[in-house]
Amino acid sequence: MKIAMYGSGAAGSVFASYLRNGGADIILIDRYQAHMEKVAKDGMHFIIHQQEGGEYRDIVKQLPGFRTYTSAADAFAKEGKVDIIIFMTKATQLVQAIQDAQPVIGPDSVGVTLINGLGNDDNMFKFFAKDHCLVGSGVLGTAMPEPGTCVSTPAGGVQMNFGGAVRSEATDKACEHLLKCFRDGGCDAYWRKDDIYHYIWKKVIVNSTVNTVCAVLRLKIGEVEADPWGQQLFHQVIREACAVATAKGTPLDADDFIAHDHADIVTNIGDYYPSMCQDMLMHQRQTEIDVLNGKIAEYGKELGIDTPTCAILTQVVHAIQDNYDKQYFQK
Amino acid sequence: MKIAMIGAGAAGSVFASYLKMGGAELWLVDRYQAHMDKVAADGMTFRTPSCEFHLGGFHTAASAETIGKMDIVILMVKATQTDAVMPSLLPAIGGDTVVVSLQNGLGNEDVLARYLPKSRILYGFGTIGTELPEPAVCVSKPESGIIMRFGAAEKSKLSDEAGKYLEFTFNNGGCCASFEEDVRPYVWKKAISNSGYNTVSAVSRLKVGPLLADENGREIVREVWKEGCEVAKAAGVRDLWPEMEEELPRLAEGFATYYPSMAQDVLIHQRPTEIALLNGKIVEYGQKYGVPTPANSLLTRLVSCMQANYAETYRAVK
Repeated sequence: MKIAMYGSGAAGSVFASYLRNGGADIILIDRYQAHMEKVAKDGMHFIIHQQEGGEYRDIVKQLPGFRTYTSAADAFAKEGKVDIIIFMTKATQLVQAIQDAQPVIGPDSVGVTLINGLGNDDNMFKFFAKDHCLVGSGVLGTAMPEPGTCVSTPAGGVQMNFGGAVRSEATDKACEHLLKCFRDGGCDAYWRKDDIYHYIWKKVIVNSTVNTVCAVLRLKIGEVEADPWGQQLFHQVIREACAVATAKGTPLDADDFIAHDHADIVTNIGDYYPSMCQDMLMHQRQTEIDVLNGKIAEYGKELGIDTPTCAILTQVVHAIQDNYDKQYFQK
Repeated sequence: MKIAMIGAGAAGSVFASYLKMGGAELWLVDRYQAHMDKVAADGMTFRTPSCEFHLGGFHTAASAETIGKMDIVILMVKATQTDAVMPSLLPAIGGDTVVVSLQNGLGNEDVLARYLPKSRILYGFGTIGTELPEPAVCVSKPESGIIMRFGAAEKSKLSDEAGKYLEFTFNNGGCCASFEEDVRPYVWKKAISNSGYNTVSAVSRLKVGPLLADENGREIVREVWKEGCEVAKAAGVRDLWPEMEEELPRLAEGFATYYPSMAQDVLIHQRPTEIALLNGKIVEYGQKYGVPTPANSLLTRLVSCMQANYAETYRAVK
């Protein structure tokens, strides 16, 4: 099966590298010309920054055999239509990306989004029938330090969840193939046959909780959890998000989530600044707020579920990320 | 009349100076020994935008336990400390003494009502920028117009006499003050106003100008204000929202280029804020009257968590 990775930034390149390492026939499509040229010429320099028992061990591979293109039209001229196309753009750019990718998409092509956050599926469904659509998300840190090089920093445990938006012959076939390539390539991926939305929601809720609250408070996860006010904030987000997930057809119990999923996060990564802190505090760049708390608030509004905490946190993060240059900072 | 000023920091010293100029007999009570000693020995240097005055004749004390019965006791300690100081004030409070809170925030009269009848309680606030640059020197930077408003928690002969006396004496001393028939709308309006731009500025780390120029920033402030106005209405105050909404654009101009007090507390000085007396009180009254206050509740939690963790806070370097 011919797979296209549309959007080959840090995450797209890492996901593609696992698939290629697992034997996939894969092309990359990205406008980042220097990266595309380097990978086509020398292959992908793929580093897995593995942590085992507190010690880091780097697995380094030079993966040949990628064909790269800077546009879907160029890709179509050489490759024709693809069997599977995976979108790894920014969530805000997904619709435009699917439109731009049309040349390589045929009536039998299966579309895949592994982009973080909520609402990517709805954008996919504008172009792909549900029985030709996969959704999922990765649980991996990724980086692209220079053109032709990508780094994966798996956190331990599950690294990828995906599944068909609905089960069909087409989605089953695509899932089976992706599962084999990911696994053979060294990525601990899971095909969630009947409950992919359960996993998507869980990841979104974790991110909407610790990412957003820690970024606004400028504290690590464990520091917020240790403060009674901070803990209330965490719980409030979880309660709103679980209510919305449940109303959207993915039943999640907030008390259960707090006792298990949230407790695990605090235990495992309490001493870290989550990724939105890195976006907001360290790099002053745009965050994923709109596909996290923003989307929860949006769904809540549609469904008549109160989500004031998510709504106002979204506004707070917007007010901050739209005004980094005017913010107080300490020398 | 004998007046004790409990808490003679920057604002307490300035308020007391206006009253002294107006002819009152003043006791300053504060644990700040150097300040008390210097005022007792050399008097107070009082600076206003137009003049510098030298005021002698203050009595000073570290505690109210030894000053004898007062006619009026004015509280200017931080509102969160009222409960802690009240027991030590009781010797100065006789059966006819009126106690006045000019402290920031909401609900100060309710705290006092735990110690004496409402008929002997006045409350209100000043809108004066104040500084205490060194012991025995205080600076007043008043806004224009009325800069001090107060009223009775419950109308009575005693509260009326004390209110009228304070109004006369403040005005006589150069501080434009008003003894209000109903001070609640003013107190609520000030607290709601602060709970919006002041708190959101602290959380977003933006000055009021850019905060209100931002669509989301403006929306949060409006939401916080709306909730506050709903709570005030439930508490029996008139609908403040129309007048507050009108004020929003003017606020953006007035405060554009600096950080309001809570932002200063959080960002510059890393000291405890007045969150519990502003948004925290709106949440508390909201619960009491059954008015939902999710925006105020979120901000209360955010700032309460921030101020408890200053040492851990990530410091950005651009």
